[in-house]
Formats: sequence, structure tokens, C-alpha cells
Amino acid sequence: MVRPMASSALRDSAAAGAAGDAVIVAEELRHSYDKKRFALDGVSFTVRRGEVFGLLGRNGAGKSTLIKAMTTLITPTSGTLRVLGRDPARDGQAIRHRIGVVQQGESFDFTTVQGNLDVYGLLWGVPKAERVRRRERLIAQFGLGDVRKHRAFDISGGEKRRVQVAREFMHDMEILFLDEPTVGLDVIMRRTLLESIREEVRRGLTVVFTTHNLEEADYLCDRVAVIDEGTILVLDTLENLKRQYGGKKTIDLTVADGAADGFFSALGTALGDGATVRADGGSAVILTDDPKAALSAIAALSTSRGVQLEWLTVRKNTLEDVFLHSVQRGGENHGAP
Amino acid sequence: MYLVFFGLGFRAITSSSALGNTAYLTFLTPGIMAFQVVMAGAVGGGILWSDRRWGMLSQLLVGPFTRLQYLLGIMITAMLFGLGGAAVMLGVAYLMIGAIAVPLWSFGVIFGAIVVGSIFFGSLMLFISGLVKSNNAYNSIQILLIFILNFASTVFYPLSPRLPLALGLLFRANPLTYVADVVRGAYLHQLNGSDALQLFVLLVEMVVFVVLATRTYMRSDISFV
Repeated sequence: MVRPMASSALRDSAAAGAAGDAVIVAEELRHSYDKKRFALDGVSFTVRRGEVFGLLGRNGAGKSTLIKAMTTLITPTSGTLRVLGRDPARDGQAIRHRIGVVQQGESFDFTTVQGNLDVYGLLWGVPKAERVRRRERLIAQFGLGDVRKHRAFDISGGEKRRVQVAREFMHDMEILFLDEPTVGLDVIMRRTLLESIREEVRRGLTVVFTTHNLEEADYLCDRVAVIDEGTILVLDTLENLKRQYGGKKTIDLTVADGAADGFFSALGTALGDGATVRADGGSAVILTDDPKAALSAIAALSTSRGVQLEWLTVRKNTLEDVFLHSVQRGGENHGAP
Repeated sequence: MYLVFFGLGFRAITSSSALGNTAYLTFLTPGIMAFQVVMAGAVGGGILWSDRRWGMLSQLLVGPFTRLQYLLGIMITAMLFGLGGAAVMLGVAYLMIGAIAVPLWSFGVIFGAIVVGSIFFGSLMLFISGLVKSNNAYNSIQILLIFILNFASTVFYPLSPRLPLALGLLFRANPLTYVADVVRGAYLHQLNGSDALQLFVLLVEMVVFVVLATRTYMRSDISFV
């Protein structure tokens, strides 16, 4: 059973005072689209000013629903949410004046790339001279010079993504919400985009960032929340997560066809609480504090049962392992420091 | 095109006595001007549906304005389309049949009827576009509705007492008939109490559909297609 993260927003808020004020406070948020299933099921967290807060999770975990709630697109069914000190349900317009949102799907006006940036500047009331200056800077920064006169709908997927991110910087904002911003970008442009965001963060921008790409989260985020089935399973700084899981090792194991039946469950029993075994067919991933003991148990069990081992490696944990084990186990409760 | 093809095509077979001793082109002109309010409505609904389909609606809804401001912007656009279209039709009519003496106050009545009619039909199409879930459904409903509205009205022909009962009721209930009758009354200096009542009813219907369209777009999930 997944144990949802207990309410830590109040703890977070107290801690946040010591390390930058909280710009987003969520307490027991719940939301259902169809009154049958909760897309958000008791989510609580805070986001501090100037930090990059990552939301990791599988497809359908609730990340986009959470972004929609914070950006005033939907009103949660229950719970408390404050963005920049205001209630999105009542003060949505005041909040929207101070945030930027890059949504997951495409969204363009029927004009050129340059026109899309201009429209955004106009919508936010940016004076003309400043609008032109920002537009030219962003076109250069995001590599849109070659396509500036092309209709936004006619450019490549990666270029479209760059336009969507670039236009948010046409206006001033305190929080930028990015819902999988690097989808469709090549490696070089992905890094360029992340560096641009990082530069803005150094200038004081707060970023809430959802991604499937754990390397990006590792590169950019100060804290991450792993969300699954509408609840937050893990919430902590990357350093703490790596420290906690970094001491552990991961063993990748594959046994011969047909031999896995009962082997992995027996191995889990043999290893006890000091390790977790996640099996998938003939392969398993073992997270353990004591790789030597685990290897001994594997050797003993394979000998006694006559099971042939086909693959065996021992490696350090990555953020991906943190994510996968969190989702599998239902996570442990961590408050932000 | 209606003014040119219908006007020139039908004038040969339409007697002016059936039109209150008015030449068909002169009769048709205010009808076609009124018809622009339906096209204005289609433009309004089309703008919103296009924004929904291409993701721009959800992007605009996280912009620094309210949903009501966004809707009002569309309604104003529809109104401007209606007024512009009516002005163009008036210009085409002037080229075809020459000037007709229309007092200034009549232009005020025509202006008012076009504005109210455009906002009504704009709100109606916004309301419909907020309810449907697919582009095909929206287009189908819009085409059918425009066809019925246009031809079951007094845009092209007067309301005949020999119409079957059901069709007569449809004509009388059609808001486009109200717009056409008021614009025609003003254009031909033939306004009467019935036209004033029709304009009032149209105004009430406009308010109702503005409210309905606004409530539809206050739904949380409206931006998602």
C-alpha cells in the first residue's frame, strides 16, 4: 500500500522562513476530474523563492494536474493552495500577472515566430522598445534567427518548444512553471535551454519543473518531489536523496529462462529488510546496503537451486534508482530540510 | 454574393407588390446587412474553437486577464465583423441600386440592431463551442444552424401568411428575423411598434446568451479539448 506523504507543508513553511520565503504552499490538495478517481490525493508541499523545484513521476501520476492547479487553470476539489501568498481560486488574475507557464502541449498564435513573441509582449503590456529588445535577445538566445519569419505552426517540434519557452521570457515573472519543457529537443538545445533557465534562476526566478528526464532534474533542481497516483512519495533535496540512497548499491541480476519462478521471492526472503528486490520476469534489480552479503546470498541460492545466472552487475545508485524504488515501495516520508 | 446573385437572380421573378411595392434588391439589401450578424457569430465561435483546438486557449487562460475579458474580446470582435460586413453590403448595394435616402437616426437603429444581433449570435456560437468536444461536431452544428437561421428568416423574403404553421413559428422565433425586420424597417423608413418589440426581445435574448456563454467558460476544464 502506498503511504502518502504526511502533511509537511507547515513544517516546510517554518523551515522555509529560514531559507527564503515560500512562494507556493499546498496543503492536502485533492482533485478529481470525474468524481471517481483522484488525480491529486492529498498533496502537500512548499516551494521557496529562488529555488528550482522538480516534480517527477510517471505518466498519469498527477504532475500536470498539479501544475494546472498552481497556474489557476483548475480549482482543486479540496485542500489549500497559496501561490505568491494568494488563493488561485479567488485571485487568479493577480497571480497570472506574476507567473509564466510553458504547457506540455503546443500552443501558438497564427503568426510568425517573431509575431508570437511580440503578441506575448503586448499581452503583458511590455512597452514597445523593451519588447523589441527582449524579442531580439530571446531570438538570439534560443537560436530562432533562421525561423523568425516562419509561421510558428510550420517549424519543427524542437523549434516550437523553444518558441514556447522563449516567449515566456518576454514578460517579467516571479515563478516560471515548466511542464516537460525539453520534450522534442536535441541534446545540445536541451542543455542550452536548461542553462538559460539556470541563468534566470540566478537572477532570482523561482522555477517549478516537471520532467521525465532524471538527468535534467539532477542538473537543474534544488529539490524534487516524486509523485505517483496523485500523492507525493518522496520530497527532499537531491543531495539528501543521493546521500540516503547513495550509500546503497544496486545489483542488476538476470537468471536463465524459466528459472526465475520462486527464485527472486526466495532471494528477497533471504536478504531480509536490508534490501529490496524488484523483479520483472527473468531479471531483477536489488537495492541493498550490503552488496557483499547480497552477492553471497545470490551465489548460495543459485547453487542450492541450480539456477544459472546470466547477468550480474553491481553499481552505484542514480537518481533514476531513487525514483523507481520510490514509486515501487510507496516512498518514505521526508520533509524538506 | 447573396446580394448580387440572389438579388439579380430573383428580381426577375419577384413582384414588387409582394414586397410592399419595393424592388427586390431594395428589399434584400437590409436583409443581407442583417445576415452579417450570423456570420459575425460564426467568426466569434470559430475564433474560440480555433484557440481551443490549437492549445492557445489554455495558454491565454494563464495570461494576465480574466476569462470574462477574453470572452468580451471575442464578442467585440464579432460585433466589429458584423458592423463591417453590414457596411460592405451597404456599399455594394449603393453600387448596384444607387443611393437611398436614409435618415441619420435610422442608421442609429441599424447600428444598434447589428450590434445586438452580432453579440447575440457571437454568444450563441461561443456557448455551443463550449459544449461540444470535437471540431467535427462544432462545424456540423454551425453549418446546420447557419443554414436554418438564414433560410427560416425574413432575410431573403417576407414572412408569408401562407407558410405552414410550424415553419411560420420557426420564422417568428428566429432572432435573425428580428434583426432583419428592424434593419429593414429603419432602412425603408417603415419602423413600427412591432419592430421595437422585436428589438427588445432580441436584447433580452442577447443578455441571456451572454450569461450562458460566460458561465460555460468559467468551467475549470473548458480549455481542454
